[in-house]
Amino acid sequence: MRIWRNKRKTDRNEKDQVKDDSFQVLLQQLTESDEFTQFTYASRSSMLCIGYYSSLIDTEILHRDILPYLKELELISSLPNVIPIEEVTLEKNTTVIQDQLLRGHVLIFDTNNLNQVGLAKASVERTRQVTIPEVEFSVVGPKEAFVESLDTNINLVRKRLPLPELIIKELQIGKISKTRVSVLYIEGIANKENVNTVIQRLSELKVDQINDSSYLTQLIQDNQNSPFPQLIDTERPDRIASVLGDGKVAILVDGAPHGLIGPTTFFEFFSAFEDYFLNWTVASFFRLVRFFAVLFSILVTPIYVAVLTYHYELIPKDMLSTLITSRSAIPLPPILEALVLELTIELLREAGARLPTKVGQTIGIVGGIVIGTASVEAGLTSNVLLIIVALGALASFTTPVYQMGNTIRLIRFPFLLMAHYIGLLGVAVSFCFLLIHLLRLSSLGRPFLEPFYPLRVQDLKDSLIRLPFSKQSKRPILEQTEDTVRFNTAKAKEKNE
Amino acid sequence: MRRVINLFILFLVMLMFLSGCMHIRERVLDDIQLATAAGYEYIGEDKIEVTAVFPNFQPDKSVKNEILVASSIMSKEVRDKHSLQSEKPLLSGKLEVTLYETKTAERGIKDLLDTLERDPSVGSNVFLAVLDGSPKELLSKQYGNMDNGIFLSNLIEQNIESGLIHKTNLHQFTYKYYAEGMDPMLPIIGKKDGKINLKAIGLFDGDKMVDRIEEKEYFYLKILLNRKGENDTHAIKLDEKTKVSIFNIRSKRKYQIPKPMTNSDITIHVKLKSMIREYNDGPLRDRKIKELEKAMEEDIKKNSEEMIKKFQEKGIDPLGIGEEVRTRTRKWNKEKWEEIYPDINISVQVTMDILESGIIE
Repeated sequence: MRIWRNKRKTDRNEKDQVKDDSFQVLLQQLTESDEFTQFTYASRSSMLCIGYYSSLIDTEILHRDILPYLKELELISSLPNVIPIEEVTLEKNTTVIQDQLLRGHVLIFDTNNLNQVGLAKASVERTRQVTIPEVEFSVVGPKEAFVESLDTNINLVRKRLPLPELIIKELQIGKISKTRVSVLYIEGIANKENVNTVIQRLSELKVDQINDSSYLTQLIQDNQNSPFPQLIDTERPDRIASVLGDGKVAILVDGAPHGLIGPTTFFEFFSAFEDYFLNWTVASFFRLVRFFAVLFSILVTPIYVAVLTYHYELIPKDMLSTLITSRSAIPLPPILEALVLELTIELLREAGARLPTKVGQTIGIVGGIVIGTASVEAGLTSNVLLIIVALGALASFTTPVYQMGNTIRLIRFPFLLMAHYIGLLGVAVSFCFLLIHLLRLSSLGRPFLEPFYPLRVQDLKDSLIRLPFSKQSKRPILEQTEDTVRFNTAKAKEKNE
Repeated sequence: MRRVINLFILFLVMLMFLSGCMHIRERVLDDIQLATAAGYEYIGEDKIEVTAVFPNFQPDKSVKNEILVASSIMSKEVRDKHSLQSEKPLLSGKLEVTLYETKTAERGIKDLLDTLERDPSVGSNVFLAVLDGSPKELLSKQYGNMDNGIFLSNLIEQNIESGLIHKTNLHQFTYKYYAEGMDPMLPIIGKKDGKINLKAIGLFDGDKMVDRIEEKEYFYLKILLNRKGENDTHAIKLDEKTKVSIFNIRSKRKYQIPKPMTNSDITIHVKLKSMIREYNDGPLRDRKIKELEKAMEEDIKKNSEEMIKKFQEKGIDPLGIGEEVRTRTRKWNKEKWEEIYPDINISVQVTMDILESGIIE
């Protein structure tokens, strides 16, 4: 309902924008901003007027490559021949002129002839250097991460895939922000259906601002109410290059140091890109560890609460004394004890994330050691639970994709409450709900729990485990690639022999 | 969308306010008293006295055993009476061992087992044992720094694992009790010099204890009881000065029943592969080993046949020979089997193979 109403509103606004296109009005509008610099410059034959947004252009280009050549200018129409910059155009359309000015072009026009104006590109890119990845750090492998500039990011991907089939479709999204969004795919590998889905969803977006790629994830994923992200978010250009070869579609957003990948599966969220740099046995082991860590993290505190509240029979006889002595002085019921500790961990995490790095570390130590020990000594929590909660928290941080880690931390709380209300039955019921939800999810229309449901044995080679590269000769079925073969194993074998 | 949100809010409200209506009783671990062992004894015609022991875990990690004694006509009634004496409700879900006083066991324990079988919180791996002596007295003592129930359960479990006594627990007992051609057995616990020990194995006819076999006969019982055996130990005295002790690496038992449900002979073949654990008469040569094998075979044959004879006289069948017959007959008749069982000639054929004699040269 509400979305529909918003749509109508935006439609009307767009109609309002169709306005007087006289150049004079535009000039008036431009000069309202103090940052717009305008001055006249006498050329050999006429008075030229030059205008630009001073913050967007490189003054060095202006003084070195534009102004000296204007002296020779006879007619404004010969501007492209005179100025030694590749992007010099002549324009009449005021909306284009406005757009180009906002992208760092310099406006040059003859005060006597307002029919045609020249635009020369002198934009300056203020962006940080390509640095090492921080979120998806890996010990081995490339150390380049995306930055906030779309062109740099595309460059980082394209230099890994020097291939004419790598297609980049650019769209502009956002009424105010006019963000450049690029869709990357490899023609002949990626399924057209996936590409079209992405492009259609992007082009139908009606939003005013896109400030980061995470906005797009939330706007275009299949189920926007699900706590599970359905597009992988990565800061590694090598990961994007690698999955493009699998037939996936990548989205890069100007101003965002993260790219998006789709379609994905649930299990891909537990594979770090570093897995590909390690031997397959080691990598498979790490993946399994990570996956079990997640299960552990979701289930361990609820099971503790359920067992201590309802199912004392399940406690092994050798653990009885440990559990009972640790709980004997605690005034709180298990659920409150668990909630207090879980929330404390959340507080620590949140506090650590909001504070600057140096202070954040201190908070971690203070919180972890002081609060932990003190609460046990004060008899507020049992030390067994403290270990369980801390291990659960640690396990939840092993998830390589940050968004998924947050989801894992969130879904423990419903589990905890259900465990308190109806014991292990509650844990089982919650787990069923979780499984049903995951089964219903899709990523760009492709099943999210693939290759386990639907079972595709071929895709198991790169899911919970990773088989050696020599066994990965076929592209995953998930993406329904146009070219299903990565390389010919028969030929590879011949070569080996 | 709105509907989903409404449903979600409804669900949350229900979770918050209706949780009181669920009637699931919480049993938070530190608010209950866990009975870990119980001892049963008939006092009078219809009255049972139950001694329950529960651990009281002290903050300094030591354990104090406390007992509650009460009597009533049924055992769950007794538990309620126990709770009347206790600051926390006494629950039986963590029961590890139940003990039956000898007289009680001789009178029949089926009625007392009923509560254990019926209660879903009691596992089927509870150990049962017959107790020579008063349960009240035995359970009120402290045995090491641990709970008495866990102590007794460890005692029985350890001996089962090391192969000294047969596998036994509530499940095994009821299985053998309900099986038509088989009778149950239970270990008998006794006290000797202030220490608890497993002194014998009680043989049951149905649910009544009728006989016992002493420690030195465990070996014969064990190799005949299971289709495959291991870890048993046995020692014999050949003559005045030669003594040998063997360790059973692996044994196989096989029944040969040519004509089931008739009076014809039944032969039990036992094949043993053993090693010598101890020998006190000089070096062992191959010939000597052959001799030992022979002596062992004879000893086992003689003693086990004697044991079986004893079973037949009492009309009990702890080895489950009846079950073996039952699996080989189309028309099984329990009454008829019980009639012919005592007169069947059951012989044991032993083949002993000593594979190893240790590392002494």
